[in-house]
Amino acid sequence: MSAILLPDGLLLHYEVLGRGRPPVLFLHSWFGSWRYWLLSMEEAALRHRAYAMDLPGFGGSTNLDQGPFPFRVEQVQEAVVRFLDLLGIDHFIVVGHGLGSLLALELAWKFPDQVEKVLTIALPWNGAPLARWLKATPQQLTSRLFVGPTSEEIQVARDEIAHTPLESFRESLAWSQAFWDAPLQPLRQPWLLLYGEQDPLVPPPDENAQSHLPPARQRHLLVIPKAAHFPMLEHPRMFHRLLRAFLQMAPDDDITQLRLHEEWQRRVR
Amino acid sequence: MATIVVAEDEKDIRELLVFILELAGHRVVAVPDGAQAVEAVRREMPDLVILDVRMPHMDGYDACRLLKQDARTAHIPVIFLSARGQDSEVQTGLEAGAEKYIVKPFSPEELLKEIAPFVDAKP
Repeated sequence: MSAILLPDGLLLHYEVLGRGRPPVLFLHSWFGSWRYWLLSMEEAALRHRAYAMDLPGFGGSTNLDQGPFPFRVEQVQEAVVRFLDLLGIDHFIVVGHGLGSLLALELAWKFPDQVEKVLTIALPWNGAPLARWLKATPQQLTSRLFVGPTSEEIQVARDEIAHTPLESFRESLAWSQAFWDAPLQPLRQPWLLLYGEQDPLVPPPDENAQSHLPPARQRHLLVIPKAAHFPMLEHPRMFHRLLRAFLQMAPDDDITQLRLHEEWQRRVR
Repeated sequence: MATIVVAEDEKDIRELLVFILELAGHRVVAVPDGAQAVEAVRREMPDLVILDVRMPHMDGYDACRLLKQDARTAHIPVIFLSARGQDSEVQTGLEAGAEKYIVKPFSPEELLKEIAPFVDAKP
């Protein structure tokens, strides 16, 4: 377990695996913690140093009831930037889920020369019906966040979600709903968007909605069938094969060539 | 509890505002455009008006000017919602008579903090 204490007393918990550059930063969603990235970190760590942090208000980082910090998403953004600065992470790939995907976009906009490429999972878009879920608790939502059989990793994620503070959930979900009503900045990095076909929180955007997403130098959207909000846990083999291909892409490779594959294929020489 | 008229054309954002404000104990009248906002304010005589800038039929600026020109509603504070990066909107909104600006994306805590001076004294 690793943690850093920011000068204002904010404790940030994070975990790290592997070696290799550029490092990969995993950012979690409106509920849960770093824990549901563990399988993805193990995949990324085969070639990269993989970091996953608990955002302020979540997991092992300072929670709402633990400090003098009013929880604000701006502070979360600032904390991520300070985390990167303190750990000397100056060039990296970012993978974000839900709230983390919005933070990933912010990082890409703010640091175009430092963020090499971006993978967003369940990125809320203008029109994603997040507000209706504000009346629910994370615990009430757990039954709708996953489809398919329950694995050990999904059970761990369910337990983590159940411990998400209600204030953190609502604050970050509400902020995410209001995120898009602003001029769109283009992304200079290659950008892969991934959605679960049956995600009740953030359904895949239709063609009209996609036309309102920010432009990017390269942008590619994929939908994992029979998956809800956690495709990385619901279809880990498919997701991690895609993640590996995404991480191995050279900066000038065509991101639209990335495909979803159910099974590993034997390479024939 | 205060009565607040909210005008926002984006349905999801409007629902979000209603949820946050009602959760804080306020009575909310939500409408989708500036013209309906003016009607609602004249009818409800609320403690506060929250207006999006860009709306169909009548934008937030025109709605604010109408309310500030009407002696019955001129005293009611108006807060604008503006997209980030639109700094010119802030000046135009203040010139139209608004008391304050909230820049999107806002969080519940920010929103409640910004409206507190106008609604907290209400029984």
